[in-house]
Amino acid sequence: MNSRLVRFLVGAWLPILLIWLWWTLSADSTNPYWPPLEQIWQRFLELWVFEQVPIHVLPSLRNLFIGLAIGVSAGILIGAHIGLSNLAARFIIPVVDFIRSIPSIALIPIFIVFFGLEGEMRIAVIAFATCFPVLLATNQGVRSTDPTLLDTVRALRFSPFQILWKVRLPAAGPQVFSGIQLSVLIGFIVMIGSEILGAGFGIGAFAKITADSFLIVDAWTSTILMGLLGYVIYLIFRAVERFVLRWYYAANKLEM
Amino acid sequence: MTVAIHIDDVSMTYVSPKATNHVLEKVSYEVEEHHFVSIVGPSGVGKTTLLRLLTGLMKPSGGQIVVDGKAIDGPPEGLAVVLQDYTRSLMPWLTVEKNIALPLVRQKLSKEERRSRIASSLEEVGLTGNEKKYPWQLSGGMQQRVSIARALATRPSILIMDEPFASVDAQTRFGLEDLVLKVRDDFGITTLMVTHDIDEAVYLSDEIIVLHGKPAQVIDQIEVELEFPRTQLDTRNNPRFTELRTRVYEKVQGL
Amino acid sequence: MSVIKRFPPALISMTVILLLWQWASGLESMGSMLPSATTTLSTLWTSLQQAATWQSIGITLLQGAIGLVLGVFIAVPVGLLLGLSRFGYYSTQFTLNFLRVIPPIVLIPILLLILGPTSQMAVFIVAWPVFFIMAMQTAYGVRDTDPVLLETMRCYRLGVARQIFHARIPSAAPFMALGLRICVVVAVLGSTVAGLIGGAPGLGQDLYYAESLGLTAETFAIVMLLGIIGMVISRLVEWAQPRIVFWTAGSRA
Repeated sequence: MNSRLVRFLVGAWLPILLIWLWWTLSADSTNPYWPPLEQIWQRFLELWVFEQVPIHVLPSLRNLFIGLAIGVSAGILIGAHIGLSNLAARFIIPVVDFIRSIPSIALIPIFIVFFGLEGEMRIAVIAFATCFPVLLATNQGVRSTDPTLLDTVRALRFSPFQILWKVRLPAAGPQVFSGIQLSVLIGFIVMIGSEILGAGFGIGAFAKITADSFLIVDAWTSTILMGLLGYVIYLIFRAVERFVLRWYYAANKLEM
Repeated sequence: MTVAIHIDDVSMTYVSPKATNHVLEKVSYEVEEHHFVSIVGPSGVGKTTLLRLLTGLMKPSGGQIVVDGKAIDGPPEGLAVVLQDYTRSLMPWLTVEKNIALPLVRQKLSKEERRSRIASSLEEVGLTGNEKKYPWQLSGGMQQRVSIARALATRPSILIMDEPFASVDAQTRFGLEDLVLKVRDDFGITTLMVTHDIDEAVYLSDEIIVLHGKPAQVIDQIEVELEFPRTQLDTRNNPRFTELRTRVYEKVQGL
Repeated sequence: MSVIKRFPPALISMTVILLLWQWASGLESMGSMLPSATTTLSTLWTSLQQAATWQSIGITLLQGAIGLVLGVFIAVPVGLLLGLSRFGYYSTQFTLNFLRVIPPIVLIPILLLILGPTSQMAVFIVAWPVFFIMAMQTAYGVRDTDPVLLETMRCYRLGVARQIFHARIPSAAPFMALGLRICVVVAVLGSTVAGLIGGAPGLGQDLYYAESLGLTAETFAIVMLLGIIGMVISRLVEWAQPRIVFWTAGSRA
């Protein structure tokens, strides 16, 4: 047996066992809250492969994607530039720190006040909430560039702007990505939260409405779908990170 | 003359799915009680492997190591170690005195006895007054002294050192070498040391074993008959010292 | 520069933001959407004098604390066992990571059915992520124990139990402390989320009512209060962490 197969088997037996346990233990369940997994699975196929996907999943993901794109780019831009100036950082960072301390989900009511319950509100609140972790991580990363590296490029007569984009930001890459990872998680939480709160479309709204109407099997399918989406989004993030930071993983001989 | 450690036809082969690495071939040697023996040889020859076999952390694939008339199976009673990586072998979350006290928990000592052991060990290595400090508050040389004090506090009969002074600067190194000689004098511990440094081996040892070849064998045993007490200046300026280091050097290079 | 020396920059920028806020709230286009800074602050001030507010704060923190303690107490032994066994560690990596990256908010609709809008639900929402974070951190930390340290202990014939208590657990402590630091923030977040989205008692629920009744000043005041609580807690944890694992490089600076 080759080592990849062994690795797969070692990782896979537990989830397979858990799913099998759930399947068999729930098979004869009459408890309305714990319907048989088989029922949930069949309903899952009916709903999410792929009939309801364009209505309830794609718009959510589009909001998340646009919100994240705005939030992360703003975070990197602002974080990188205030990283250059001690004075600016001393004024701005405390404010950022305060806003970041607000549980991200609590921002939703404020944004509802301004934008109502529609898609714009969701994009706006995702963008706002995801901006800060990236901003702080970028600011810290840009400030902690290796001084030897900076001396070297200064000797090569790079302008400060060139230094920022060619040296400081790439060197800060790993830190920026750890900020983005947090942002992706927050973005996902805020996406689901805004859907549950602002009734209407979206996977979170679907889960809430079906649960409130005692469509328990449907509620279970959407819970599972949300879980899977959360994991897929994490996998996509990892793939992007591995690609952008391939120099870092190669240099540190980290496992891809 | 009593034999403290009997290395009896020891062979070692590492087997991994990718390759088989035959490191030691029928190495035999008898270490006399109270002697200071250095193991030298080119890099990668298997010195550290031999040392790990002596500590009982690994089992030889052939032959045996006999201590106190018994083939060892795991670290033998009365063994103490000083490793190269002092930062990694001392516990950063314990103070100097607690680091020294840790191996003592196995010995049933009264509180006063334990305290006096710690105090006398620290005094021996010249660190009295640093009991409450943490290892990382001390310099590299001082940390290595703590390792030595920890070894001494157990009142060992055998001390095994793996390149103990490789990570400290040259000045500190001379001080630690003299400290080790003094400790050996005061306690009569049988000491085995692996080193890269031929001068150090000659300066400290009663005997030097040279490992060479692949798989490695003992190609020479050199008696260092330089008289004790040795001093950094006189001993190292002694023409006999120069002759011995030349001989060891040639053997290590395989000349 | 002399102004900066006399006043901390944080104070200046906070003042500037409050002034901007005050100005913006008076604009025609804002209508009644944005309460003025003064109204919000005075609402916050009066609410802080009411026992009900403190009760909500207390419930929010208590739900977070119970969930945190519960999660940690289950996770640490599990993580320890997983860290000691190679097979255990690699068998559970995928499953634990899968469940860790799924935020517990997805469980709220289904939990509402099973547990209802209760404090138990909030505790579960907190304990769930805490368990996965702490189990993984502990297992990783235990595995990360320096082999040189363990070999040194074996040379001195110290047994497995002593190796666990004197080397494995202290080695894992910095990872556990970092996990705990994350978990404290997660606990406050989870307790608030459970209230706001799931109707569990506490500040989250107050916020939900304030928003749905159109009480904008209250809404803003509660959000500010949550920010202050979050900040105080992060500062406390930042202060405590290097004092608990005092030997790690970062805390020696």
